[in-house]
Amino acid sequence: MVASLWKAIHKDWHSLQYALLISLILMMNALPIWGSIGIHPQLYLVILYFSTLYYPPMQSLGTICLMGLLQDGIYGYPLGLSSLKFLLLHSLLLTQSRYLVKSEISLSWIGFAVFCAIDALIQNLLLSYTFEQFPPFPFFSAGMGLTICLYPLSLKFLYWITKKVG
Amino acid sequence: MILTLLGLKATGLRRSHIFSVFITRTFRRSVVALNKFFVTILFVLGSSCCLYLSIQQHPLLASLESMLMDVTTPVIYFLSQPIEWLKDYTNNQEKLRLEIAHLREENKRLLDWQVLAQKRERENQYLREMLNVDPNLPNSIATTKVLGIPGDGYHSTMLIANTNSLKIEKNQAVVCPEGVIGRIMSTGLRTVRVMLITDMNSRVPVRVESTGEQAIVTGNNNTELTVIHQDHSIPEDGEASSKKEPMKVGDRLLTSGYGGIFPPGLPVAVVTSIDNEIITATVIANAFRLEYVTILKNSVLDDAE
Repeated sequence: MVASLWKAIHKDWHSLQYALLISLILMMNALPIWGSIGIHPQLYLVILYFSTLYYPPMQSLGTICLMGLLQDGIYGYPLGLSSLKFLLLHSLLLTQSRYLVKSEISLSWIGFAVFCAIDALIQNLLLSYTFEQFPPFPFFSAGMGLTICLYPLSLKFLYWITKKVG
Repeated sequence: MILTLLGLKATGLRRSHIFSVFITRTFRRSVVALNKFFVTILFVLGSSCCLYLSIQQHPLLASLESMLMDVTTPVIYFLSQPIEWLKDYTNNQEKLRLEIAHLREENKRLLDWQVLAQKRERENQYLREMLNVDPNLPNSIATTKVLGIPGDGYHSTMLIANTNSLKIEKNQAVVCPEGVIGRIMSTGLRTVRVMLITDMNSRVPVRVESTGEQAIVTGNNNTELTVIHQDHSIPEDGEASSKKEPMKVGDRLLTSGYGGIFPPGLPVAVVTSIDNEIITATVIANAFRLEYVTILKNSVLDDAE
């Protein structure tokens, strides 16, 4: 039993590392320091965007669901909200991947900005359904702006991490 | 026949295998895509169901939610600790810096207060001593501050403060707890000049404390006084020399009360040397150490008297 478990861990070691990294980033996204600054960047969006377009083997639907559940647990959303949002974003991104994957960084950046806006829209729709009231749609929030601004740096960092992870 | 033409003539099992391979090769990508699509749809539906049940507050999902919260909260707490520590550290540094600045300011203020308190304590002690200068002193006294002792080598005078309420007049005696200082020489609106007993022009009638011998002391513009006009009067019975003891070193000279300026019994000087009938005495009250002096108002002689 234990041997088979170790074998499974060894087999999916890279995926496990990746999942742990995402979990860590998700939790870092929830640190109180962002609240004290007043800006909440969506770091996971960068990872989702990067993994879906440039490193698909690491991003499985199960991982996405798990990360969504983890985010719900962190922020106290109804379970399934973030999973649904991430799955929808992932599916949407897959349909446009052929245009974005080989594009230049500027186009990729613009695509990421649109991706962030769609994320905000889906989030608002889901929250309005959940809490039965439509919160004001943040066409451009500080967190979103920071996430978009940090996109090239995050991309570089994720490339570096991916190389390290293997 | 068609199968024969296509080269697929075989047994049923072989034929079905070839068929499945053909189908798989032709539609593999589509099948994979379809598979992915359905799996995605499945996951989306699963998430939607989960969301719906969570909104409906299903007990299982509620417990899962609380479990997730229990798991993630400590991790977030531990992750936030370094940042919190850093924040606390910077806040503490800032707080300490402010506290140090505040304490320095407070210390400076307290030092000022300390100096003031010491000064007040000294004043208080001095004034207390002055109040007890002599219980036999006249009631009407005035205490005032010493402003300075201007010395030019020819005169020994002291300047003291004056106000209208003090009502200081010329020739009033000026004393301190140790003894006689001098007498008022001139008065102004704000200041009063005191002729010290060490002034060359000063003459103070004294008596020897131990023998009661009368004398007059005069100043030398220093701390030494010279005894002049020693009482050598011979009594009527002609036994003066046998009854009067000579002045000796260490004798205290007190005011005799003659002249009406200084009340009797105030310490003036101590005899320090006797050389060829030149008797020198050192003043008891050192005027240079004084901050306050007392003026004896009732000691002035009434002109009418």
